[in-house]
Amino acid sequence: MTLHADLLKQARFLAVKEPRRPSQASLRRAVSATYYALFHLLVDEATRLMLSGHLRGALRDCLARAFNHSAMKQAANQFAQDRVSSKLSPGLDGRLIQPKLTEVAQTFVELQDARHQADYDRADRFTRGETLDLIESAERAFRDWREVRGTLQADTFLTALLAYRHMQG
Amino acid sequence: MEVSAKSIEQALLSLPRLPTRVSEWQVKTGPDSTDDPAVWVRAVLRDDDVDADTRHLLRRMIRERVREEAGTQVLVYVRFPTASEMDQAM
Repeated sequence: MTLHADLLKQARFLAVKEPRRPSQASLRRAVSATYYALFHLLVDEATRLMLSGHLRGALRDCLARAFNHSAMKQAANQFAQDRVSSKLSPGLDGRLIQPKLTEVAQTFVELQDARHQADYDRADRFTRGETLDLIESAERAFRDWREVRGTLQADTFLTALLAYRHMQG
Repeated sequence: MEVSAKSIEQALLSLPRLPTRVSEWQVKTGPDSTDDPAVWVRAVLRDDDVDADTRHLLRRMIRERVREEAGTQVLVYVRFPTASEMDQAM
């Protein structure tokens, strides 16, 4: 099983493991695992796009360490709002961003914030319902991604996640 | 952000034809973890068993309404606790 699929499975396990009163620790770890499931799916797809083949597996793992959360959010937010910078728009070659890709980007931005709340905001409290809803959003993003992957727009999105902040002028 | 949480809550209360019943809106505004202007909305669902498609539709309606009210640059974060969960937490 891939890391991203495993993390999503773990998130669901943590969200339902206590039948009556779920602990905040379980729910917070579930939210965090949900974000990292989508994070690792996108990083995996991006590194495979840039470095293909079995021989380059270790090199892909090196490249995976170059992804930065806030830079990814900045890039994803452009796709979520369907307002892509002129640094990136040539990559789209005039094509419209598919609604499913917009949803993937939006879900990434939302889950990153939820992960931040779950990991750092001790005043916040998650409910099981909220946690399962976030997990289902990630599951939907996984399905949406399968429908858009390989398109020029999806490849532009993956490139932006890694490189947008480093693009000149 | 110039728009208050109260006015966003009023805008959400005026949403017509919601796909499921919302018993309470909780709205917070401020900068998020990367200092982007953000709005956090907790829509407390009256029913426990609202399906994922309905929540997805409601989330989109909330996002659109908040951006109409607060501007398209704002990031909208939505969570769906249920009324019974909120009662248990008290």
